[in-house]
Amino acid sequence: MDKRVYRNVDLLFVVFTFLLLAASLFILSTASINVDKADPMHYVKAQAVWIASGIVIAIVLASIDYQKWRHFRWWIYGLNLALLGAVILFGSSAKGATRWIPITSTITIQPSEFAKIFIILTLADFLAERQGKLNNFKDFIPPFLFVLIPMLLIFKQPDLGTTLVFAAIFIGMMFVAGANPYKFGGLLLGGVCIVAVALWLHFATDLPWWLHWAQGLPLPMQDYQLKRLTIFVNPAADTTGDGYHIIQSIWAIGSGGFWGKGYRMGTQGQLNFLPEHHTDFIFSVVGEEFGFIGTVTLLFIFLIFILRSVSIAMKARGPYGMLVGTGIISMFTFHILVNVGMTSGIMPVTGIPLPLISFGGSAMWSNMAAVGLLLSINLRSQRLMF
Amino acid sequence: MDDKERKPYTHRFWGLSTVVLLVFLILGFNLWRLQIAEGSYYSEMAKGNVMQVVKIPTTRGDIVDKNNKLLATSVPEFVLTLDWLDLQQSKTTNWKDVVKRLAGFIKPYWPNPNESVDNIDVDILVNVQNHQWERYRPVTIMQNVPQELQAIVAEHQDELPGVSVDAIPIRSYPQHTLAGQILGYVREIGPNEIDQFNQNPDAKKAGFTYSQGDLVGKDGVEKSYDFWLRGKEGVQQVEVDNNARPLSKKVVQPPEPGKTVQLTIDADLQKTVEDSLDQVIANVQKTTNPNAKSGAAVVIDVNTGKILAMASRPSMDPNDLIGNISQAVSDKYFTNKDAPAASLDRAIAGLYPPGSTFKMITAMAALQLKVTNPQEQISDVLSSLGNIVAQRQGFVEWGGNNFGLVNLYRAIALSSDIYFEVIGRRVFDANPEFIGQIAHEFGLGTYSGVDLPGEAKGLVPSAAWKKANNQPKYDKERDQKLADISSKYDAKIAQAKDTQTKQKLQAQEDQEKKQVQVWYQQMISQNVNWQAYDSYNNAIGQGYNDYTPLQLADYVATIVNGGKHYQPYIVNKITDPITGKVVKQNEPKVINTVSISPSVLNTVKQAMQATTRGEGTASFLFSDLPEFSGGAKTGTAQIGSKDTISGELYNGEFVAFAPYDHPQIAFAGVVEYGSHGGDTAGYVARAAFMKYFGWKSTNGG
Repeated sequence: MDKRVYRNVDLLFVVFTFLLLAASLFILSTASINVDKADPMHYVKAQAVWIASGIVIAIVLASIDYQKWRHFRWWIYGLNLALLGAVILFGSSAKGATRWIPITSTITIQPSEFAKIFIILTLADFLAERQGKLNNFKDFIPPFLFVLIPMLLIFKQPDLGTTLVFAAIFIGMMFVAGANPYKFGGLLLGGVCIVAVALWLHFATDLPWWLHWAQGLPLPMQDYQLKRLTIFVNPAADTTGDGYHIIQSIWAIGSGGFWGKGYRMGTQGQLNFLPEHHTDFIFSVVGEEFGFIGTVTLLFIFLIFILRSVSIAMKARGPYGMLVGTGIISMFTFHILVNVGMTSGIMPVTGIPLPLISFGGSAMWSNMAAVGLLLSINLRSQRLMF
Repeated sequence: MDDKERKPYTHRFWGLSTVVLLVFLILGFNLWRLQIAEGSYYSEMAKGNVMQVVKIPTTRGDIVDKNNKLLATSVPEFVLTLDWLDLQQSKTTNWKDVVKRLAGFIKPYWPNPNESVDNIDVDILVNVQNHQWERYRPVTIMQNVPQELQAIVAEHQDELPGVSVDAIPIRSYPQHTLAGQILGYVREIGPNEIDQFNQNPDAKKAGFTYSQGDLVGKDGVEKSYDFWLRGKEGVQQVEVDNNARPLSKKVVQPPEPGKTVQLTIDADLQKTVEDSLDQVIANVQKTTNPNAKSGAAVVIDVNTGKILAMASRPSMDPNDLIGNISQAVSDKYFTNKDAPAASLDRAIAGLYPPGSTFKMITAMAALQLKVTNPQEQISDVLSSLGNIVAQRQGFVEWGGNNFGLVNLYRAIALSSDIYFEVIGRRVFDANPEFIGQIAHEFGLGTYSGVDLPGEAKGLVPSAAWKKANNQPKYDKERDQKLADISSKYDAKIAQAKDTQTKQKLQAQEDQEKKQVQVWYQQMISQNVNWQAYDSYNNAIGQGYNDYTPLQLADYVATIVNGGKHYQPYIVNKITDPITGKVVKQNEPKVINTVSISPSVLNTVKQAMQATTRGEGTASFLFSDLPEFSGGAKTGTAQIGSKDTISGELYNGEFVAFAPYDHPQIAFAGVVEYGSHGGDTAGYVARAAFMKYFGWKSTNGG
């Protein structure tokens, strides 16, 4: 590879990526010490391994010209469907969902994490070929179907969070690919309205008689799942059940105040009032122990990280790189929005981890793969004359 | 890609950046709201998760008599408990082994002797499991732990970490029925009582609030002095995790034992009065009326208002009311089903017509108004009341007696009804409210203010009272009758065909209405307006009068102490059991000084002395007591005949004081169905005097 490409590297992006990875280890060193009593540092060590291997993945992907993936688009798309199909056939279950494929007795992989990267790579190619041809509703159908198939397989697990990430990736990429903003936006608005009305019809208790038929309409989810999704609006309605998690998380973050309770001094996390405080709810521990200062600092690092990503995507050599970048930006942003939002009570609890921070191997690998792809785009960017 | 191609993408990326910024702004603002704006609220919430408060029980204070004789105390009940934190922190041994070992030790003493050690082990584990959400609280494994088991647990303490025998204080009344109703009893606070207890001024001042589950005094001194007796529960703060497992504990406020409350009661005198009352009631049951079961007697210090003895029958043993009580016990104490309710303190809550014991009020009113003088003699015949109309409204002398010419002294000594009807009518004619005023000055028909719960007010009738009490009833009845007639005729008149019929019906209606008015006037004159017979009745303590024995004792005390109406009280002082320091001392309190002149008081006092001498109705009681000096008044009060089959039931009443010069104590007593006051309640007074002054009978009885 040409040595000159390294002159292009976006140093700020690399530095902030490392800041996030360091933050992950630091936060886990307080958030996970009470999870495995036998080895308090177990999760920190394991995460360090995931990070180290993630860095290798990123470097490998950065050094491969991302445009090569276009040649394998259908292979990748097929592999994606095969992995997601394998989950349905051979998957192991936990907490009411089937998301994992067992590799050995202790190691499992979560294909839906990688599916996000696969769909970004393939959809970018699909849309790049259609640039300038996304002006009518009819034009929206092929890319929608393209995303819909893996999305349905993930929805089936059920993994609503990742399904929604797919939707966010799709929307972001369609927008940047040049879909007619009025038509596409109107379509989205319509979709959101239909979902809202369907939910209202399902849960309303005082419907007029002429709407009673609507109560019996089938929804693609069970009542308990819907309840879990909507409880964040009023967690006090079920303080010991579905609302418990949200309430404990809000108490954790709120009680941190401005300065926080201090490293390893949080009671909500350390005394286990807050479940999953090393994975999906790790942000609550940041809020509790490091306060407003801590949460805002972490969000600031994320913001710079995302804005540098935008900058990289903008400077990509062609539409394919721009769209891959856009997919990754949409994915990260949506993850941050939903994760921080759910821990602070303004988003439904959907089990989406905080990228690059939450404990977890599959997520770390797929996120580092995304970082690697961004770097690959960055290294091969066009010199711009702004 | 050239710039022209790139431009729309650049624009869209700016759009994307805007969305990203918006997302971060929303998240940041929400965090500001949670952590800065509402941070302190959530910090309280999170603290509440962690800190649990465990109350440490304390010992309720003792109640003692004036000589510090123990009347109510707390005795330990031993319970075996298991403490999670101590159990878990024992490093040497597995906690399940500890439970197993404990089961082995408990086996011989376990309530169910047939249970195997393994089953007991399971029972204990289930018990612990059932309390898993309050693991910071010790779990009670066994109650009433016998002494041998206590010794075993103490001996094997090293092998039984977390296991301990704790003493839980239980109320006990070592003198049983003695002063039972005065002491009261202790039970869990009722949901409706919390507000009432929180109104207690001492509790308010100390900022103490009662809450559900608190044990409180339900009656007597236990209730009125609950705040002082209860002490302060200690507070232990336990830090817990999300499984309610204790992590650390800290006593933030050690328990403070309750204060010792010293009564004005003399337990020995109390016992004498109670025994004597029992004897008299038993005697009445045997000789006069088998239904006689109730009575009350009060001895007070005339110069302070201190209650020295106060008895109420049927008797109450507060020990019966601890813990679960059976239906039979509940019936005995709280219903009149088989016998009069025993928990009622009849000395302060029982209302009795005073009978002739009221006559001193009539006498003082007459002398004060100067409608008579002590020497005026009135012939003891019905004709002294005046013309035949007046005679028909009066009452003949009791027992068909004719005492001849009667002056004030003889009238009191012999309890002449005719004399008091005559002078009583004069008083009522001069000022119909005067007798009521005087009675109130002596504490009759007003709350005495005694420091005990549940006292009755009683009633002094007067013209104004009679009118206010009875008129509304007749007004309502009349209005109803008139309305009925109107509606009846309105319909008829409306249907009438010609004017002639109408007029006829109208006339009928007027006629019927007139009849109602006549009936109304009759009722008003008989039952609403003050009548001569009301004056007669009232002057001799019959009719509507109703007083408590304590009020009667207070009234006599006020006559003989020179007119100072003291507020009676039962608690002398409250002391701290540890330091011995007096924390509250009750002082005598004069409510009012009566408007009766000292000479009139003295005259009445003299007349009461005459009752105990010579021809006096109570002379037989004291004739064998050479050291006796004092005064008395007997009473026989007719009970409202409507409640009884025979209509001829009388309560025996007796009031007295002693000694004559510088009187010290006053007595009032009632024996229900006792007929005569002198030979029922009188004997209780006699016994009380002999005990108090150490007087001896010359014929040894």
